[in-house]
Amino acid sequence: MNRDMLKLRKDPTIPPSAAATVNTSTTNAFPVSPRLGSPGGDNRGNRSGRQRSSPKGSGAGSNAASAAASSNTSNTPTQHPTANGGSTVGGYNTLASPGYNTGSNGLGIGAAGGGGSSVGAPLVAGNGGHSQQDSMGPGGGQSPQQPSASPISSPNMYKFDTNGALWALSASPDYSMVAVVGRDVLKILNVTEWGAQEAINLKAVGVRNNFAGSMDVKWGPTTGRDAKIATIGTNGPIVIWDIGTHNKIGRTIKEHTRSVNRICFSPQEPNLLLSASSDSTIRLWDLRVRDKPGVIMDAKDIVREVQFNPTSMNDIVAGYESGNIQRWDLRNPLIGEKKFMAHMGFVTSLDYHPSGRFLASGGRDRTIKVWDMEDEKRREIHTIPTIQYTSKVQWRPNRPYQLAASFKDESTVQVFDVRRPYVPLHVLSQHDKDATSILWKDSDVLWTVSKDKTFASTLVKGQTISADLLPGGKAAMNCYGQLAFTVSTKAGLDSFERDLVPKPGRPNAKAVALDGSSEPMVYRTRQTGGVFDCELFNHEAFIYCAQNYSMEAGNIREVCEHNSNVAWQANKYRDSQTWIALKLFFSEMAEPAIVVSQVDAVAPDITTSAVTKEEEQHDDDDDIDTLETRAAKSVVPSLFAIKVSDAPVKRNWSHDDTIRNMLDFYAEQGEVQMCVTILLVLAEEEDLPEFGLSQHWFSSYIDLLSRFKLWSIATAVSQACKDVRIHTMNQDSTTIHTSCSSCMKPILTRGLSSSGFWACDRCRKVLSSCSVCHKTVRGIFTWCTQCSHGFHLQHAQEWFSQSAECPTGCGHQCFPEMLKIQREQEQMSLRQETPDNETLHDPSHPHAHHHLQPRSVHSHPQQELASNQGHSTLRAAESTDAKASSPLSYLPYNV
Amino acid sequence: MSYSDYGDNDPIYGDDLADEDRESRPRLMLMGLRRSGKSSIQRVVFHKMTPTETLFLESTSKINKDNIHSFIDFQVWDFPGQMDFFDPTFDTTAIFGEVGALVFVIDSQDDYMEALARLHSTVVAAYRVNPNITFEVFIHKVDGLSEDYKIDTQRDIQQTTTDELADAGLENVQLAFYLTSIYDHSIFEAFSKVIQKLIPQLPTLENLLNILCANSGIEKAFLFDVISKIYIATDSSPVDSQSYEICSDMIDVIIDISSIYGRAAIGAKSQGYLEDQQDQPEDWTHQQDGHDDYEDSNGGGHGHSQAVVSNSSRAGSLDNQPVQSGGNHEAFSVIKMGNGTVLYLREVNKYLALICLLRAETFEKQGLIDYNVHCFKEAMDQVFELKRAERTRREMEANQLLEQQQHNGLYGHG
Repeated sequence: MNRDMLKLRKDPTIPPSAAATVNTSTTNAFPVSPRLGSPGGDNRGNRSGRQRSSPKGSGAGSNAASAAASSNTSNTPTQHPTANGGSTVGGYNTLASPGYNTGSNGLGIGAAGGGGSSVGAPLVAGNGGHSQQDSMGPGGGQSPQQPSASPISSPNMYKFDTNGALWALSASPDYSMVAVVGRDVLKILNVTEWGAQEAINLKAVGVRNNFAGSMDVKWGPTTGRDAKIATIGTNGPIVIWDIGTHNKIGRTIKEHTRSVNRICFSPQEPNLLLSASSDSTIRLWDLRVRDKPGVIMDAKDIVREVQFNPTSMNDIVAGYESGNIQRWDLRNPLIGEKKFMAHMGFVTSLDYHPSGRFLASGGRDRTIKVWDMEDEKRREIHTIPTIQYTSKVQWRPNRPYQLAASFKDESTVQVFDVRRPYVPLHVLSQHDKDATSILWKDSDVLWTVSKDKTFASTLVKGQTISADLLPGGKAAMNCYGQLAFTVSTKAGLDSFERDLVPKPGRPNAKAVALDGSSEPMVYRTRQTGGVFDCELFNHEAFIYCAQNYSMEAGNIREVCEHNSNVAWQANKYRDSQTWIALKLFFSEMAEPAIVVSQVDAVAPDITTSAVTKEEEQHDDDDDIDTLETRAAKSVVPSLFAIKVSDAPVKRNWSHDDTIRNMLDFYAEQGEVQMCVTILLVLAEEEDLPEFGLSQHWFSSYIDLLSRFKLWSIATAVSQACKDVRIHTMNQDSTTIHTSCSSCMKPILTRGLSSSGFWACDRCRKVLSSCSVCHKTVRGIFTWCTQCSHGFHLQHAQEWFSQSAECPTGCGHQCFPEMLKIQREQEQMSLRQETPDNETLHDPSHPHAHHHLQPRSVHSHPQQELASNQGHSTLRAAESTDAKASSPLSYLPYNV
Repeated sequence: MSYSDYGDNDPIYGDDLADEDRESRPRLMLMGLRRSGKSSIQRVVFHKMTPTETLFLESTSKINKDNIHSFIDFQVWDFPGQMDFFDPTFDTTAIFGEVGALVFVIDSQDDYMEALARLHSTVVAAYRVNPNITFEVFIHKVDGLSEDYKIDTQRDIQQTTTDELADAGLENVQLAFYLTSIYDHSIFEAFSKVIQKLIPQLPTLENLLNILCANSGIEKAFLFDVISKIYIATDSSPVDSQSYEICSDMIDVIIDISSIYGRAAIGAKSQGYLEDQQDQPEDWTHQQDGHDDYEDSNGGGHGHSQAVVSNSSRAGSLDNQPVQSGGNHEAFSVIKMGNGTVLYLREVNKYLALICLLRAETFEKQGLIDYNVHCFKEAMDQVFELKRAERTRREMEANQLLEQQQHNGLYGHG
């Protein structure tokens, strides 16, 4: 049955009542064009509901409703919703007999209602959360007496269709009645825990007086004969209805020059009403004095929301279009009190915490923020990101940390716990269309209204906790071959409160206990985590090889020899052998080579065939000299004679296949390092074929190097590659990040922290200051990439013409060439004194051999910039890496 | 350089001041430090320059006055950034005396302390001359900032400025702050709010729109100034950026489509205004005397979209009496979107278009909506008729006074 209701409201053919009611609402500006009921069948399900708004279409439906009511023997207070639900089923329930679809037979409706509930109960049983409708059907009406039979029909879970999109609701002080309003609805409902029932429809009065609909409603705290509700008419005025005595308009307030956005009754002083308006004023009205103009508070900004503090009667808070929230004291309406910037864009909703100290605010920037109004700091203490901007937010009674919120263009209502802001505690999907407003009846029952024309009551207690639905386990791997994982250790459902632990250590300044306890509690996820070393990847060897492999093309012989040694050092014996083999393959053999030749005539036909085959494959006819050599490679002969030739043997066959197989093998093993290095070393070989995957190898090797923060090597690799795309990969969308030179905290964006761009947020030191003159450098900033101290260019030149050491006294020798020059000068002077002294080389110089040519200081930054490009690197990371690595860390490469 | 001779040597704008009645033009001033983006804002909002082109704008060296002929006529004064208020030749009274709104632009990506000091001195100087100025602060170029930093920047700027003004004894000066960028709609939205404060009829318009929305089932209605894509009024429900953006985009779509498909002329004299839109942004409606109506439907090629464009039957300028034809002669377009929302555009007058967002099921009663919109238009006409009548009455009074004075003078001399 419930499902059928859902289906019904999604049916696009139902004409919205918003449009339908234009017929009955007359305004001066828009004369009404009478509209008769839409073609039969379209809105049959709505008919019983429409009986009030459209007299023409009410015939069959209302008959059906009354017939159903009379046919129902159980004369419970829920008979009206019963009839309503029954007629709906009659119109649309295809599970019932098609005959009921005519919807004109009263008895048929009643039967359909009964049938619907009997069919509906098992249907609903499967879907747990949506059992509310059962209590409304005739079957549901009896179910309270036998709760064991149908456990799903719980109290406080129902929906009531009001035949008009609803915007706001407000309950009477005893929560027995609720006023719901929309653009064309003005109704008061009687509410029990089993259902709602229409008590008063104020629309008829409203239409006559031109206040057809309302955007907001508030029920005054007075009861009995003084009971009042206040509404905001869609076309401006605030209307006070005396519903205690007679359902008449008691007073209209038209003083606001622009539309009123929100009204609010004082909880302590029942006759005080606040109104927030677009005319930039907040006004306070005393409803006991009819002609007294309101007290005006000039907010100088469009006021979207206003709320009374529940504990202090003179304290109010207002939310503005500009995103500011301001506190006002009613005793001093001339000057507002504390005002602070809360949201980007307008404030949509405010709600005071029951303690009167905290304030929740929803804004256009899609956040709900919680503020400590007694704190002088204008900082929120909690922020909850939401899916859309909130239309209404309200704290849950007796649960100091929880609040509910409805959102614009969102059908679900969410309940949050501020201690766990990123996962809503409950997601309540009662409605089919945008839920517009919410109201807590008590700590467990939430009332909502929606644009799907319904008022709904939801029992929040026992709803699924959405965090429980999230998987608790996660795993991730890093480049060192370590696997980090978490495993959920949740004890069971509803474990949220148990996952709260007292916060250890010193209290966080931001963490404030909302429930009045001294110690703020924090949420702890019940997860166990760990790191598992998979040892899938020998990163030490990789780094060592990356740092030490030579990628120089051209001099294959020496490079291969060097790389072979490096691989051997790194315990990569197979790679070492590969390099030796490469050396043999490609080097111009200057030393005596072992030439294997075959004893002839043993298998001559095989040999010749092999040779011809080889010749067909490779079209090089100029280099064929010894058939024997070729044959030795290609066939497995039975007899061999080995002779050592002492003449230099030219490389005389192509190694395409071998190289290809080798590269494929390494690629299969995931050793892009070998693939790339081999390709780079052999880059000068002309007859090397194209490898289709080489680009992938390069990019993954560069990626891998970047992960190990070997930026310089990655840049060298990309520069050495001939492939245009790899070669130019650091020429587009280059980002250069900077970090503080003293604490290495990255400087994220400019001018945004309290100290702006000029000082580090963490260590509060001036950024980019000159180490010589200690002033901020504007213009060209020169720095040492290893100790990361910076200078004015001129100061650096002056300093390093005298000394090699960093002027900060960090001990780093930023400019080792200077040492060399100094020594040379010393030597020169010595030599001039003692001309027979001739030693020049300085073996103690640690850095000398990895700088290819002496660099002047001012070329230094550019060079390092170039190496940083394209890898989103942090300079800090670069320099720490450089410091940590061995003196061999820099490969000789040309920039 | 003396700033008191503003406009005299300006060939484009110089003569405009002479023949327009000065006091009826709200003046909007753009101020700020050099390179904060003032001219870019002006070009993007009022001259349809694409944001990327503004990179090549040269810095402004003298006050650049720009008359915007639109729904409300106003002037935008683009001030050079390096102007010095303490220059004795700087005539503050002449400049600030008639200003409606002062927009101060702050480059949020720069170190804004200097800008705040300048803002402070500007506000103090201007407030002394003319306390009725509304001060608007655009925290500009926020496209480069992350969300968290945006609000921190705004909070910081707002707090510093209001504290400084309070220290100077100007607690009553109200500054409005906006986060803007020319690369999205935020600059248009901010300008909308600025312009709205200069429109005296705003409460009436808002109320009319409220009534329209309530009775037609419209979710959101904007009254757009088509040239600048500024909305001059909307109903009282809060404006969320998506709905504004989609309406703003719709204007672009209509203008683009009609410039492609709109038939150029029936006969030689008629020319659709929308075709002229991009060449002559000052004239949405091309002046014409004929009543040649045509419709150009190009729904076929665009799936769900259906844009019907017809040209205006209005003759004469805004000052003349509009033709009360009441017929369906205005630009009109409906775009149905995949998510069940319908965008409904209808020309209201020469400069204004009404754009409504409504649900598809509500739109089934299009006739009703058409009728209500028609009523809305008539109400709008009445509102501005009143304004026109007021103006003519004042002019007549002034003339009478003048005549009387001349008369008296004659007598006096005689």
